[in-house]
Amino acid sequence: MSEKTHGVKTMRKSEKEQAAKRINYNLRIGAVITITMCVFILIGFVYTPYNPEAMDETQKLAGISWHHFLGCDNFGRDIFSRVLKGSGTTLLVATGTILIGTGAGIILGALTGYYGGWLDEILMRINDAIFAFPSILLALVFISLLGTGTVNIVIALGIAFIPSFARIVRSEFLRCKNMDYVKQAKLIGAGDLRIMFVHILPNTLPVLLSSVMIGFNNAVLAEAGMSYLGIGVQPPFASLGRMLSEAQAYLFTRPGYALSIGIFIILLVLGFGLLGEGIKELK
Amino acid sequence: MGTILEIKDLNIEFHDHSVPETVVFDFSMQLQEGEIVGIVGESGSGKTMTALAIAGLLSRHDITKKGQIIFKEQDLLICKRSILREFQGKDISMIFQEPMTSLNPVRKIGWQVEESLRLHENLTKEELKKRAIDALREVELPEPEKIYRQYPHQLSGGMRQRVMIASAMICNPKILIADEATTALDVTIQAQIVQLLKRLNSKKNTAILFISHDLSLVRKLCTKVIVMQNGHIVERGNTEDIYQNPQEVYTKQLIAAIPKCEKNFE
Ligand SMILES: Nc1ncnc2c1ncn2[C@@H]1O[C@H](COP(=O)(O)OP(=O)(O)OP(=O)(O)O)[C@@H](O)[C@H]1O
Ligand SMILES: [Mg+2]
Repeated sequence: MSEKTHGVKTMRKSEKEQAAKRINYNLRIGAVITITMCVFILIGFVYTPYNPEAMDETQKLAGISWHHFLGCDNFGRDIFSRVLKGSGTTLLVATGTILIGTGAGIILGALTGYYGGWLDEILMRINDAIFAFPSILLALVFISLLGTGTVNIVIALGIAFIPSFARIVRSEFLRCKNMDYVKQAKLIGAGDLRIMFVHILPNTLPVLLSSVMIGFNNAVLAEAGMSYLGIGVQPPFASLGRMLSEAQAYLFTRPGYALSIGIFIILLVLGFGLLGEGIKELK
Repeated sequence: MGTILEIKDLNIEFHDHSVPETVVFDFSMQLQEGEIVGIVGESGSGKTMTALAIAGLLSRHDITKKGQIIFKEQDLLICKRSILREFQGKDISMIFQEPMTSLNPVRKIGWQVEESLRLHENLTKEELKKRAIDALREVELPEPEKIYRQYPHQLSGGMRQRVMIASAMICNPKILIADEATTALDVTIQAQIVQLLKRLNSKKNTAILFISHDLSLVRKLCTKVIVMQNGHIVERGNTEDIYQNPQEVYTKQLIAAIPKCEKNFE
């Protein structure tokens, strides 16, 4: 067919070659770290070498050995088992936070971005007001209202994360709503909700996904921070933040304790961060 | 042949500046079943605004529309939105100038062609797919099964415009509005698309409102033509009459502006 003009063809080819040359290291390394971590954590849900809550008087602050990969804590609990379980808790809290944050953020952002007008004005001013506080501070306020506990911390962090997602989604909807394909969808009689969530939303996915990854990191860090402060996950349950606060008393006698927990936090955050960057590069 | 669309004294006025600005004045026309009518005129003469009003896309609050657009005994300017949406895509379709941006970049061609069927008819997945592939074949795209599974960026401009026509025609609408549908394409493909529209028109008896700058294309395709300038209709009539014997100065200028080599085209 004469429609395939030569110019277009060669241009596409060179674009493809360029894209192939730039290997997306962020995405690859991020995926490797994240998948490894997730495998560890999933195993931790069903199997840990020791019961993470079981105390063994004879093993108090035991060093690294064949029996205890990362040694034992001040109660004689196996640190490796606790780290496995604890990362699981942290991951669950972060996932719940992101689900609430993105879910509500998508709905709010879509409505305000698509319709605009007074609804947009009101909701976005409220959003700005909430956004002005650091999310961890906001979560602290909610925790003091709701009380501590794992479910409450998910709710508190989730609410605190809504404004940033709402903003991102709204700006994406503002960008997309005047596109020709949206006009086309209106033209064939598609309803507003269908246009918003079936036609526009998939177009916001690259941006949304990379901000979900960043949000995930912030959620991991926020959970760790709050549990460290003692208002997050409550004992005897393990979470990375909790364990970090327990470990600090032995920072000099057993530096490996805090270090191994810190490394787990860093790996989690690094993996998701790189994934987010990689997804952004994919476009 | 009966009248399927009647526009009476359509006025379109913008209110987004301090002074209201009227861009279409007293536009009236009738469209008969299966007829092809051309609208020509310089840039800014209000062609697109008229077309958007018919397609029901001028619903912004800062635009005032006066007059009547009668389709199936309903006035499209004042009828309920749900009634309008019933007509959109099913009875009245439109294709735009920009085939490069009119397709959703993240959805497969097949999904997009099926969309108006999904909105207006209750069909199973297999039926949808069959209709979509038939529609793609009807607009003479090679390998419709393959194109069904492709994304817009994998197609050329001419192919995308064919896809747009396929998705506009899939519900067998009564009226197809083509707003500069060929302007962004090169000359040979323009001629092919015009041929295609003509074939679809005679096969399905769809009335076409063909908006264009290109008077030679209009002459090839349309039986009647409306000439617009600054929002007013300056002349109308059978295409050949107007080309042979233009009455208005403006029409004469437009015809004189057709490049001479067009005469031996085809
Ligand atoms: N938002 C707006 N506010 C005020 N005037 C507008 C607005 N949008 C369009 N117009 C005016 O409407 C008039 C008609 O525009 P229209 O797009 O219908 O022209 P057209 O005949 O389709 O031109 P073209 O051939 O370039 O597509 C123009 O004079 C334009 O300036
Ligand atoms: Mg126009």
